[in-house]
Amino acid sequence: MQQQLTAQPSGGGFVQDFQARRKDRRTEPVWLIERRQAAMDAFSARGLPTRADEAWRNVDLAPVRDRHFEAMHIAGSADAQVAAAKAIVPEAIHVVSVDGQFSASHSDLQDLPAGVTVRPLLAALASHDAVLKEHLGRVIGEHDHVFAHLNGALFFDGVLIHAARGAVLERPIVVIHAVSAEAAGRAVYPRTLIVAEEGAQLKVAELYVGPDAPYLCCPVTEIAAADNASVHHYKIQQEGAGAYHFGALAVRLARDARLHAHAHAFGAKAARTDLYVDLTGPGGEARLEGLYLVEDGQYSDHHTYVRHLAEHCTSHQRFKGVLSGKSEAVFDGLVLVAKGAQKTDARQENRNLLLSKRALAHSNPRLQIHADDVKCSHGSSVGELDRDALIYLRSRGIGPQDAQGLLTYAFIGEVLEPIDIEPLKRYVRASALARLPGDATVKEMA
Amino acid sequence: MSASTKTIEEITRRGYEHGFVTDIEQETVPPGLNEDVIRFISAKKEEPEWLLEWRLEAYRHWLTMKEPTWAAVHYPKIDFQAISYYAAPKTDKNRPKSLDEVDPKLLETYEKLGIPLHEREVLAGVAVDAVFDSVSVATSYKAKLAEKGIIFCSFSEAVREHPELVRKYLGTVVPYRDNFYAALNSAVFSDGSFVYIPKGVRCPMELSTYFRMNARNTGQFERTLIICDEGGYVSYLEGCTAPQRDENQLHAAVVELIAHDNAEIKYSTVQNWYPGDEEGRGGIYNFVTKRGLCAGRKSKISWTQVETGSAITWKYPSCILRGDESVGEFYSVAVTRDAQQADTGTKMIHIGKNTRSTIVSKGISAGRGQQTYRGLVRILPTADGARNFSQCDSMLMGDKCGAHTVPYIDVQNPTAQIEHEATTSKIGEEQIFYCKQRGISEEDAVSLIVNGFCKDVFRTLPMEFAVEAQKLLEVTLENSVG
Repeated sequence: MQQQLTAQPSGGGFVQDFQARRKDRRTEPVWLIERRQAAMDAFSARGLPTRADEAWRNVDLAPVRDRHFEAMHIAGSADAQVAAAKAIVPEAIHVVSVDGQFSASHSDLQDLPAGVTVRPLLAALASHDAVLKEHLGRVIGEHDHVFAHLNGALFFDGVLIHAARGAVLERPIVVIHAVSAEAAGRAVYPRTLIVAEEGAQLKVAELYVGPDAPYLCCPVTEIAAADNASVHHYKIQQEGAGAYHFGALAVRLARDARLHAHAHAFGAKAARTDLYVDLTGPGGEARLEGLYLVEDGQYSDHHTYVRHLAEHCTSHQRFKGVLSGKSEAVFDGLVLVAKGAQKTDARQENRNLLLSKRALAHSNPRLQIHADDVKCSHGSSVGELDRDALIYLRSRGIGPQDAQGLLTYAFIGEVLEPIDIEPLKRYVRASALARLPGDATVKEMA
Repeated sequence: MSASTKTIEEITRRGYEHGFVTDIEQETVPPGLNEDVIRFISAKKEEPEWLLEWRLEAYRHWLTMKEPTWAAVHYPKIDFQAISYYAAPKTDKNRPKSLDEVDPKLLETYEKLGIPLHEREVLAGVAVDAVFDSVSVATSYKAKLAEKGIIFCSFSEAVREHPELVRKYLGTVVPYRDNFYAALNSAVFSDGSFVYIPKGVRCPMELSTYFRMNARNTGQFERTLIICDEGGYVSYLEGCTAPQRDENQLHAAVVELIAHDNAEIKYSTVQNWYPGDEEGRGGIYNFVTKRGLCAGRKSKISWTQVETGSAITWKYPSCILRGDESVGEFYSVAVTRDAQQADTGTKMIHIGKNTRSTIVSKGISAGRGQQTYRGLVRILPTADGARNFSQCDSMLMGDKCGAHTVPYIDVQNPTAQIEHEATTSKIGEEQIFYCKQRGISEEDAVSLIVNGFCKDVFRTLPMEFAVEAQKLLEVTLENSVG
């Protein structure tokens, strides 16, 4: 009996969730039903990964495997969280999804500039928006990510952001993905599609907030940037202390398109984000910036897959981590240069700072290169704070904690600086400082 | 670019220079593997009961294991039942006492390989324990080494003469449970070298073994064990060439190094086995497990490898740094061209305090060659003050080759300092142009640039070996620019 159980792929509860929603899907277009089925098939073929799967070898998925987090059908209420989140960038265009479902009442979409559309996915589907058929599920496409498959099969609603050809959006869009208290013990599948047509420019920040009770959040965000489009994207993960956050961000860049993505992970008990970036046209440019701060009992994981599929593209990745207490963090970055993708310039950097003896950092910067006329490099380092610098500060009367805090802040400053939404920068900085050692003086000095 | 195309073709069409087969009678068992074959091998070598038991245990464990598939190499599935697991030259029964008694055909083979044994004795002072297929046939300088108490002999001899040492150390660094090929090797290993350096002895010469596979269809399963006792020092050289043949040959060796307090082992390899034809047919599969244990305080193990041959290379010479302040080093140059594939790298496991490791890996890919650096640096919580520096550079020649870097860094101690750097670039057209402009031919220019690229590694090789390695690289690569 035991034998048979292990032979079967785990995660049968998710298959049941999928079957339970059959009725809701009846009104959906055929292409979507097919894509959902394909995603479900991809999931159920293997079930939840184990530590034997290379890409998941450091993740403890037992909490998700041992107990099933059933999908939320009806959104709960998260008014207080939403209100707090809205105060971060007051002048932004706020789009709110609660438990993965678009909340029109919380969102302010009154004065959108010309050429920019923000709609619930459900409404866009009902009106047979052609953009959806073209991009939804297509950007994440063939990338094999177990929780993205689950999202593809189980998402119910979501957010569509569309910038028409040449549209330039000055005001940032802040998408708040809130999880309600009612979602404790349940799973939510937020879905976001961002489409920037030719020459369009926009800034989108996605903020994930939730209660401290255990829940599972599996978000998927897809970004399709057409020729010469420019997208700034921020993912700020501030989930509750008991949350499991396993999500993906997939980006497709056409000719001369530019992406500046920031991934800032602070919250959750265990969180992982996979960033897929495909540079499909010549001249594409991708910058990925990451910051993770993990404290006692936390696990943070970033996997990046940057694929250079065309000539003359540039990609820069820079991820920095600070680990304290008994925590664990993973950075696994891949740069793939396909055959014929000549004149590629790819750089990758990962720096980890260990503040505790019980912290464990994994760093796997990987290069896969199939073209010869390229410039690729990666650098990785793990270590503690510079002792000489600590002594210098202490000799000037700064306490050990404060000195540590100050130097750590200096270490992460590099990834905070490029944030080009000023109030958001202040918020991320405050979130980071709150987790650093040292007292108020440090925060002032920083 | 096009100027060199012609020369590339010339070189790539050039046959394997070291390809020839010496006809010597061989005693082999029919292909296939079962407990009887293992008993046969063990009986043939007059092994003690405990060793046979150990082999059988390894075999039984091997049966439960699956072939690993994680490496970035592709090859047709190996039929382990189609391999013959024992071959020994007939001359085994009346072993030659001196070079004069050695089969002249064997000497001729070495001659062709450019290893004039007797010349070396005089000129280089190198003791050569040449392994011709599975049984060592010639050993020199033994007496001189014996004076100092150094044991340098074939593995079979060590089993007979020094069973207590073999039993104490065999499988302690690479247990038979370690991996698929280590288990297979433990079950069927044929022969290899054994070195023991007693306390406080500095080995007066470079020890060297030339491996050469020569029996058709015979997998080679070498087993090497080097023990360096407190304060000892030894430099060991391993070099290989193999004759041209059609069928793939499996080579699954195991090398174990043990360094006690203040001991130092330097292990250098030049590997130039037959890489197969342009399509990679017929080349050697080189699946090797090499590992060193820095057991004592301030011990040091240094691996240097120059890998130019084999259809598939799959090896990760590693160091377990257990003793406090022990040092591990890995220097590698790997070249792949035509359809060659190499997945190589190292593991540095830091356990002791203030342990240090250095990794320098230089990969050169030409033609359709595929190359992967795969490495692990692990700092355990006990390794206070551990330090690692890794540098992995790849050079690409041609747009059909690939170079991949897969480093794993796991750190569990904040006092550790880890740095990893990697670059991938093309051989500089401007550099070549510059050289040509000054009257240096394209061939020489490439050789110059490549040698510069690999200098950090060649520097660590013993002198004669460095010359050989440099020459090897020239033969393998000149004209590969395109």
